[in-house]
Amino acid sequence: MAIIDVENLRKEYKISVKKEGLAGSILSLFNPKFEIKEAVKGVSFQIRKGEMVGYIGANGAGKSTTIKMLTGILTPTSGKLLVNGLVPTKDRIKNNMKIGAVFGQRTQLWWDIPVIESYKLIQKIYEIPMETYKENLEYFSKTLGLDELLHIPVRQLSLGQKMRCEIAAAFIHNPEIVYLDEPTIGLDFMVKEKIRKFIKQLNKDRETTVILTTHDLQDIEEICSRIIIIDKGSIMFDGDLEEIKEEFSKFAVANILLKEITPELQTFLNGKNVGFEILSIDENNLNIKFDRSQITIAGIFSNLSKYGTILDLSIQDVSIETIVKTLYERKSLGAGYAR
Amino acid sequence: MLGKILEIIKINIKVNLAYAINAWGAFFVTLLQIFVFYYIWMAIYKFDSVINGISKDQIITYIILSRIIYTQVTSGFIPRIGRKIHTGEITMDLLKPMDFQLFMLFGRIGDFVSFFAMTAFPILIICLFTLGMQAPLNFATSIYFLLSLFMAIILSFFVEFWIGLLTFYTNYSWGLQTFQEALVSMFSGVLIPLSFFPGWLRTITNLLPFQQMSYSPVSIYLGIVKGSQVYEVLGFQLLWIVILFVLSRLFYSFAIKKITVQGG
Repeated sequence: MAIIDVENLRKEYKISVKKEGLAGSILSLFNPKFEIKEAVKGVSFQIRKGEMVGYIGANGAGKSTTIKMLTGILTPTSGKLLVNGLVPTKDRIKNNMKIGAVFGQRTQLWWDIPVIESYKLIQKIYEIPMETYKENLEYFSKTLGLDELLHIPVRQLSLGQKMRCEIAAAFIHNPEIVYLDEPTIGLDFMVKEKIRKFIKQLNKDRETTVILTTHDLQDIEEICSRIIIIDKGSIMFDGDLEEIKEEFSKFAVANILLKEITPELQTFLNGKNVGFEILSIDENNLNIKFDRSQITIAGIFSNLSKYGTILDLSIQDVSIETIVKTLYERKSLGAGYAR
Repeated sequence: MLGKILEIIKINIKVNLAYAINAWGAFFVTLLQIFVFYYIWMAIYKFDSVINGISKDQIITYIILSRIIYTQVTSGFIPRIGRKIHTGEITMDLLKPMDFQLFMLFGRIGDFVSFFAMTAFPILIICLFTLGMQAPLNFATSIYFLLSLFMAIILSFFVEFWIGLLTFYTNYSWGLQTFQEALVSMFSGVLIPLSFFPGWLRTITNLLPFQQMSYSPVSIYLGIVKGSQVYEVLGFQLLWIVILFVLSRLFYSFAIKKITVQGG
């Protein structure tokens, strides 16, 4: 049974449009004009208990709007949305009991007092049994390294310290679902690592369902088993991360350092049927993507050698970033043909 | 439930303690205001010992109590709600497994308890010994007074909450706070005892909830209302609490729908 069931979910915003300048501002006081913006255009998906789903998309693609609807902070314009069989905006308190959330730019901790005080309040209002609370607190302190942070007022914590405390707060009542909206934004590598490890561990131990939005695809790669890509309010891709990696595994990326890019080479690169796709040319550095079933690296090497000297060469598997980028391009290409 | 309520009250007291400087500020400002009002009223009472049924001794106590109450009911709770709405902080409150209005109400009680302990109580002690403030008439009166004062705070919470929610429409809470301060100053009796008002103005104040926020508890303390009248006053306060609770609840569910539709 799906723990989250979304069908044809839509969200429209009414945005006031103001004309430019002072006169325009005054005019719109008397004659306000509105524009309807469709942020989410009928998305459907099901998430099973214990899944870890990465929800990705560019800025303004509708990620946060979807997450806000799932948590019950936003009322959908239309469509079906059930979380644990409940409608989040209608059964707010019941639903809130079972979920945890971190919104990267907001905090649920009390700003002026030590972190532990916020946890005490959470223990009470989420009705966490004292034993569970103590157990979790000890466990989280160890894995996230909270020990020395608990007695410091939140405003004195660094971003990374605060986020660790925030993540712990979202998990401390053993929620069934945790929504993480850009939890690693602006954090250093060490903290990111800690947080990722923690999330994975809890998912394993407690079957916590995790929905994660992020711009850091490394997060997705390490945490999620499934990705949903949203673009301009519609789902563009929904599937298993391993599967899509498999599909892309025939592709590889090569980084080639040339002595110089000669005019002959330039002409060759500009020509069609070079057998690979140029991702970027940065001075003498050539970054390409190629299909292993179509051309071998030796073939590329010999082709290029005809026009210039190759100083260095490295080959990698396609990163998740390239995959997402390719998916985006495919989509826009498809849309272009449809027109 | 009681455990939750106490914890919310406690955490708000802790926040208030974290800002002890703020409490000292309120303490000195209120004390200063009391002295200013004291001298103004002493000038008014220079030639009469009783005006409009209020004696010189009573007016001293009146201004002390009503100034303290005024400081508390204009302590900035409206901007606190306003900020939540304006910045979208309310998002995190809507994720709590507890009704937002109730959560804020208990927070408000926590604020009141801290205010009473850190500001009101020391001021009362000072005034008892310096300005010749009257002690409560008897034990029962002081209990009724405290009860009435508590209801005054609950009542003012519902007014503050309602006005605070208006931030959703104005995007700005400072003006709303000033608006509330003006209403309270005018109609609650904190500036001038309501018995000084002409008949028509008295009628208006009787139709408004503001006198329940200050005049009612103070007149109980002073014995301006006595005997069974006390119950009448307490009953009226309770009635107003119920009315304002219902009204603010209706407005709250309306506003929260708007907020969740428009995006906080």
